Amino acid sequence: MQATRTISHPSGWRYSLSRALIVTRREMRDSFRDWRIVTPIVTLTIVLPAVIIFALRASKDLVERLGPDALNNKILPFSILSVGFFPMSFSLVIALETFVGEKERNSLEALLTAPLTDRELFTGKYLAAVIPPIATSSLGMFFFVALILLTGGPLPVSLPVLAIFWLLTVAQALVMVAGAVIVSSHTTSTRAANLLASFIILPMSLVVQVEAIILLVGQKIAMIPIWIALLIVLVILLRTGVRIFNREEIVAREGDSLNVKGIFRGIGGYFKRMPSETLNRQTENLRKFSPWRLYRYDIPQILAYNKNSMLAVGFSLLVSVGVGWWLSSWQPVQDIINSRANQISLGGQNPICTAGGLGVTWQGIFFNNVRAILIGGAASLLTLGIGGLLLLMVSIGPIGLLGGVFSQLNLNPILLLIGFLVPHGIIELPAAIFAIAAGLQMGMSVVAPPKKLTIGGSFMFSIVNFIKLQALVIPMLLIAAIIEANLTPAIGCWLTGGRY
Amino acid sequence: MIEAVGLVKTFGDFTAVNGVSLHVPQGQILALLGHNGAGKTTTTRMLAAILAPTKGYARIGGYDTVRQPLEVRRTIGHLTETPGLYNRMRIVEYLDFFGELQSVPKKIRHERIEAMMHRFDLWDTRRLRIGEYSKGMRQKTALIRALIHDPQVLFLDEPTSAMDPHSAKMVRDAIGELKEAHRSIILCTHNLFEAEVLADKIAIIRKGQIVIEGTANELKRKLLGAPLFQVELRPGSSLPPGLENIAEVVEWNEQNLIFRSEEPERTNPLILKKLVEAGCEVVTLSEVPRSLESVYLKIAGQPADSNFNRDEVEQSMQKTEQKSEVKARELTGVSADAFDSSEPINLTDELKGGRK
Repeated sequence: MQATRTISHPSGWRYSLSRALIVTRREMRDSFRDWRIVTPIVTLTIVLPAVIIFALRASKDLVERLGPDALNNKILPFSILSVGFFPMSFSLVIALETFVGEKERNSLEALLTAPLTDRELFTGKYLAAVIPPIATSSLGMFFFVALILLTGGPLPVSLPVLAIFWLLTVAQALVMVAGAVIVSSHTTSTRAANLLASFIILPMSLVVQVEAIILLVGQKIAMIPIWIALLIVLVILLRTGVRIFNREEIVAREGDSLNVKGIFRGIGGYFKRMPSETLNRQTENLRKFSPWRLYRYDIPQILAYNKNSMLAVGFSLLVSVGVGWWLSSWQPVQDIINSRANQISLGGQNPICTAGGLGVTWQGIFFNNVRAILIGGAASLLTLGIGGLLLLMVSIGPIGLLGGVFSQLNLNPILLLIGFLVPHGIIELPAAIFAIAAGLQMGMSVVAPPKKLTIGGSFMFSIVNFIKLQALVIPMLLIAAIIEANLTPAIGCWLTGGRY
Repeated sequence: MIEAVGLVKTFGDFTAVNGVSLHVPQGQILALLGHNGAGKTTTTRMLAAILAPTKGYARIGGYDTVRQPLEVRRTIGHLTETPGLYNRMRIVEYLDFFGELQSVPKKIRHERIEAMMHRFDLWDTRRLRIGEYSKGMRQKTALIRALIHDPQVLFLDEPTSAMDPHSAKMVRDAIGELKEAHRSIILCTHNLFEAEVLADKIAIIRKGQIVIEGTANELKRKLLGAPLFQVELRPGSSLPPGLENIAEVVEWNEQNLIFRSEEPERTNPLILKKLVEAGCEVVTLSEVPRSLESVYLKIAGQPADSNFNRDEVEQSMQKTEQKSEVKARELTGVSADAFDSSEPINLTDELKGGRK
């Protein structure tokens, strides 16, 4: 047998970057020869800012009706952000063209045979997709600010805030392009990629709306947490992008056609197999499906597989309790506390105890919780797992808020929480964590599939796991609901003596 | 130079390549024949370090395709199935990009680009965008791209498809020159003439397996039997006795004698002598042309869903032999033992033994 040859070539990140930049230069030259890209760049960078500023100046009287400083404090700052955001719309076009467009035109394979690592290729293409929108957004913002100053207005925001605006814009571009890379990696046509791009545009438009609200309430500095959140999302997306952008995935993915029969066959196959059998691609000596196997093997394996997601959900719940506690010191809450202080005071009667219960049946609690879990699962599926997580955080956050309020009223929150939450919560909360963690897995399945599964396989596998897990979650919710309706109030009132 | 052992590639439950072994030494061309979906492209992708084999291994120029993919990609030039060019670029810019990716020094790549563009008649089109090129011009551009770094190993997928006859000959000549320059080449093609003319060896791949491999003549001999010869005679001739002891007579009538011979150098003069002695007037003696197409169709031309594998190739070849014997017996009335001198090839052993 012939021995393997070895030879040394330059290496290191500088060399890798120089290789990636060869790809970047070519891609950018190519992009700027495409009138579909150049036209919006010119329009959105130069024409649109000019139109906005002249329109605002021309309608000065109308704008002033919104308030004495509405133009300088609200409209112009938001316009700066908007002018920076508009060119992002074509960042997706470039990104999708750069990744899936090249695959569709069959020009990618020639590049795959070049001596570039997957990471160099990814970096080169990512930079090519991200530099034009960042450059044009920055140029648009600069041009807009220059026009404000040239038309006689003061700078509507301070320089540090302007810097935050720019950083936000850059982060948005980076996130959108990173999202587009992932979308591109999962498709073989620009048409399919454009359809999937709504998963990027929708969350990003939500971010812009949040920014608008922040500007309207005048808390510009609150944009820093958004920027940090965007950077965290960027890191996750980039890690995922680097992982799934590899020759094997790109070449092996041949079509986007929907095979309904194949999907059902796939789901059926995942149901029949234990998670470990699926993950190991085991085809022989499969353990037959039975309720015993489900509880003895499938569910413990799913829980073990979801442990990182469960930790993330647990951590998020702690954060939501902390945020709830922190919100109790918020002025509007303080006002409510002050107005109700005489009703909830140390030694006062607890209405739950005087009424003899919560006033709801266990069936009502049970169906409400099951519905919440199903809605959480569906929300997770559509929002990379974030929707379900937020839903749970919103449900748990009030516990922190109540704790904070009680603490401010010099009441002992510990006894109340132990008495009125722990009896059923000890079952209900783990059930919720199991379910929402499985939802998180469903959402993340397309972003980070297990090594031996395709994206589609990973998606189906996570859905099947979510469904199988309900065999544990639903009975837990049932028991918790019965306890909550019948035992919890009695235990709580007994522990607290029916008083606060 | 190219060595692959037991390559297997599966995508989910589908096996695209199933145990392909290849060996192409320096200065040799191996033509890989097979219908669409037979596994040619997946095999070359594994050899080009684009796909990792599920089982087996491959070495290109001594580099392992899994552990040293960058070295492999520096060693190879790959003309892909579709040219896949950048339509908004001009050819010089395009080739320069790939030359730079292959770390060819600027001066050398510019000289090389110009020389190859002249060689393939593309210099005059240098001001056009690639999008304006004809299919043949695009194919030639892609070929130059594969050659820009003067690779030691070449994978050429349909190098002359969509080309006019003149361009196709130009490319074939270039491939011949590359072979002379000791390059190892795998040629995936549907053009059987091209395979026959250029390749030292031909491998036919079907359902991800190489079902037969050898030189064009070996394949013809294996699948179609020993070469056939035709003697054209003046009308009224009769078959002289004892001719069947010299060669296998396949067909006889007053004007034609067709016989099969393993050793034409020995048998043909004897046959001519016998015919002349018997008073037959010989007009011509020529070998009956047998195309590679017949061989290819025999194997690859089976319906796509049939399980035509190595075993069936063997059976098919045995049937060919038996058919020849029966035909000869029918014509001459002599027993099969009379053909001992033709020493039929032990096809099973040859196939199982693999390449020589």
